[in-house]
Amino acid sequence: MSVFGRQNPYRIAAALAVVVAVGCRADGSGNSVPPAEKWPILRRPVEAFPSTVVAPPAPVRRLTRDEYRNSIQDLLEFDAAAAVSLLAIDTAPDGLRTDVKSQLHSESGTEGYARAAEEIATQIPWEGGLRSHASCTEITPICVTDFVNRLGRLLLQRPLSSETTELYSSLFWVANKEGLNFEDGARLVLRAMLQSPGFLFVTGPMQDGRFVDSRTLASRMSLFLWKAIPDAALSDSVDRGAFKDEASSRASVAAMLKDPRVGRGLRAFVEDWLKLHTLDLRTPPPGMDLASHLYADMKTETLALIERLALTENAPILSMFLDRYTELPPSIAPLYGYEPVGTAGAMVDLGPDPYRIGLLTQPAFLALSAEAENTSVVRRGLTILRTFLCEDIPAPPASAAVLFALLPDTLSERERFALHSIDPACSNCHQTFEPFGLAFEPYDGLGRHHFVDDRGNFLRQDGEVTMDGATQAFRTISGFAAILGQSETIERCVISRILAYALGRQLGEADVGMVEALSRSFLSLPRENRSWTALLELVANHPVLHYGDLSP
Amino acid sequence: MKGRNRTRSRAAVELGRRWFLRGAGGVSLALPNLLWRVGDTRAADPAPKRLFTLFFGNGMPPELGDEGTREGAPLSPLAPYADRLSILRGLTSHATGAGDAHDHGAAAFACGLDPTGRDIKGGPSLDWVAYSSVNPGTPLPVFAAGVFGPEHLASRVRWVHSWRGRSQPNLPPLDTFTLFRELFVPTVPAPGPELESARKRSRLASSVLDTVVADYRRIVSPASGLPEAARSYIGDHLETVRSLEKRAVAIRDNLEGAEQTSSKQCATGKQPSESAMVTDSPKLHAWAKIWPLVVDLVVNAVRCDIVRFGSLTLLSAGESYSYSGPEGNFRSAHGYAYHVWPRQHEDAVRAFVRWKAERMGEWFEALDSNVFADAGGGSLFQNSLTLMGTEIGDPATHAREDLTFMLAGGGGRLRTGIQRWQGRSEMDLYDGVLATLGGAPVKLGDRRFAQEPLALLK
Repeated sequence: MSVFGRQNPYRIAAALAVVVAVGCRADGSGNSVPPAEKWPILRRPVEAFPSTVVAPPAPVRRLTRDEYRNSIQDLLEFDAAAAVSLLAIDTAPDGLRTDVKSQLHSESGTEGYARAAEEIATQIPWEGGLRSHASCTEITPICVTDFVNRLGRLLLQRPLSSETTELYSSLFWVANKEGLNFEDGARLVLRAMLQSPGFLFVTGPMQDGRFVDSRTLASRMSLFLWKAIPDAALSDSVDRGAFKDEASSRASVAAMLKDPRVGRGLRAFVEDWLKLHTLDLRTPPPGMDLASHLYADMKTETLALIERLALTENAPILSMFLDRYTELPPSIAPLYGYEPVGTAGAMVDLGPDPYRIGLLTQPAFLALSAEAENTSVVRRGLTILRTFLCEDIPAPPASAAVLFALLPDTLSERERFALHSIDPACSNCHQTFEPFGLAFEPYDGLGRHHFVDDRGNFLRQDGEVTMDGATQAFRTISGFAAILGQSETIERCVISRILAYALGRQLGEADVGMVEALSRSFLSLPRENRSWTALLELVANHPVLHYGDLSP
Repeated sequence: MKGRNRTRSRAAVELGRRWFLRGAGGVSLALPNLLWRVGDTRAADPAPKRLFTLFFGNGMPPELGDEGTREGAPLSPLAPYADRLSILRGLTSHATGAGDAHDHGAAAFACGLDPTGRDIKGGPSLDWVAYSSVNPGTPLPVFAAGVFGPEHLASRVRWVHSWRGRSQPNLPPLDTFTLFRELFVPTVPAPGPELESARKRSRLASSVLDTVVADYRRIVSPASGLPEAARSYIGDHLETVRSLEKRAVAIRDNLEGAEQTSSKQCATGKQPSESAMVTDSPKLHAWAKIWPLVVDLVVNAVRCDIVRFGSLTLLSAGESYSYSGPEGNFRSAHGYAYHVWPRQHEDAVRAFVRWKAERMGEWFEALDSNVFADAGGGSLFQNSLTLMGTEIGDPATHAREDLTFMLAGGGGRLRTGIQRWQGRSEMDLYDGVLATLGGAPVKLGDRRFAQEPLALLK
């Protein structure tokens, strides 16, 4: 129930000035300067950090669910979808599920690994499957040792020590004692190896006092570029000297970038970067005759856009904002206001449609930042700020909810924004991000375009944003997309996010020099050459991925 | 005995279409289970030490705590236990760090440290520190259970209140089926081929885990050549594998001796025939139906002496719930009622607190049931200590001063009624709780704010 009428904007403004004066200040204590730790490294000048600081290495981390499933597929040629459903869901407040800080150690999570391992070991075919790793099938020292060494080298990522071989071989003797045969013993070994730290964790011994060994480096590259641990062929290439030095590493990376699995790796990063995996938890709103797989199709459409631009067209990264085509799943077409076209993935020319352009107007992106039947200038502005500019704001003060509850239901999103801007303390926060959300006012949380909202307010797309140090006006979503499509700040942001993803950790002050150097390298390329593959290669070849963890 | 003997019909629990049902298919399975230990606590003298923490989300206006359990007060559902209940008023939480006041306060509950991220509590929680100190040798070290919705799943500090250490949460399951599986291993098969098959499976499972643990030990040893940070990180994971192995060994051993011990009953009670969780649109009335199922499972595990320490979550911090009742309808217990207290919706706020007190009362009632006699003939409630608390003081301001905690049980030794500890840190409360258990070698929380343990006992 509103205490204000629609014709009373001045009363509303007065109320906001009282409520927001403290609430919208950045730290809620009257200090309008946000706490330093709230602000990302990209916002600070490089000179603020000592040049001697060396970026920390990639920490040890566990495989994500996707990495686990892909690895089983690549190494054992077995689809472990059912088993992976038993694993704890990867959650990551920051979106990047490779971030070691989001990987916690819980007993229920560990039990998930045990159950998944049992499921795979039970379900994987023997003939044409696990049998292929056995040279003979009698429970004899020769057959047992051979099987354990072969499977171990594959799953545990390195030749086994005699101690480890003996450890896993003992499961054959357990099987034998229980009256079971070689196949049963082999399944027990597989079940144990899938729970082994050698399989679940990405780590390895140091060499030369500072760098990880070539096998660990191969694992890091494989997880980054292919989203799986190295397959047999890559492990063989390590045996032949791949990743032993800088030159061989560069050559190996170049070869890996030509493998089709790079598409899988890129999709995985984009899914994390844009937080598309959060769509997996959603179900379409009831009563709207929408496909049950609507959100999955939204994700597919967005990932297909990026993959096509990156790998088929080798287009610049920023073309994701400007592209005029989409591979439109039939379930998504009604959200565009189109008739479903042909089969899944039919290419549609968006050129004639003034309300559709690139990533920004795809339902997946629009759904991520609003509830199904609503728009949200605030949340979408925040999404642009966080996702593409790598900035953030402090958590809202407690009184923000009071303010929200007091705003009249009749106001449009734009009118709410105007009220936020009246009080300087308020605009300290909201001016930072809300202008980025204005262009999205006509789109609801399913990505449908509207001309008026359900309160009769006419919905607009125009606005003004400050990007790359310049204030620029736009009249349409295309104009807004054009601003984003030229932004070096966004390119820097993508670089920092993909670097954090590859390293498996959040970036901090010690990383500023590294991000800056990478950015300079990337931005020195002609604009048309600033592609995803160029960026993947640049990051994969960065020395930081070669460092071992020296922390005490 | 007060508060006993009220019967609840589990069969009467009706689950709506939006509830997710799985599990026992309507068949009540009798305990004991495979984690049951030979022997029981009734023979113990003195009574075993037990500690449970119960977090309730969204704070409580200080004035309501001051009303105590008198008739008409929101805490009146706890009146039957007033002679064993201490209401601790005026305490302060000092945690800051990632997230907002809900994150800070929830992370600090039963821990006393800043969160290191919105999903990582700053260190071990009270139940784990107490367990480690007492080291009772139960099949499960601690339990985690509760009811809460999916709104803040990304902020684990809001709903996980049992932590072995930083980055080591003991996650409460979202559904009662999973909780049952974690607490119990249902049914010992009848002697015959099925039992033999179960025994073989358990031996194999145990052998596999033995192998895995041995491999972990090899990896975390300095001889592995791994960097120390990596070995430490993997070592944290190893602790959870060891727990799993210990559980597997307990199952194996109990199965091996099943024919000899199957006649022993560790407790009376039934597994609830329904298993449920709420997947979306959480509503308080839905939680009210699930909470008793959770409570029954946990209390049965305590009766079987499977576990003596643990954590209950009654709504996650800052979560929004709709409420319908005689006091009115409100869409969000958090946003629309609490934030504007006491200017509006006073009746709704009182009703919401009362709703939470009713759930606490159900926990007390289940522990206090005379169906099960604990050591010395007392009830589990009598012989256990339950610490209840929340993340913020006055919800209107989200301040983390003037917090209300409650303690119940304690072997009749608690100082009961309203105890005022204005301005004292929650650290002193946790130290006081550990002192009632005989102290702990490990001090938890941020020691900068600790003065001396609160005098909680008579």
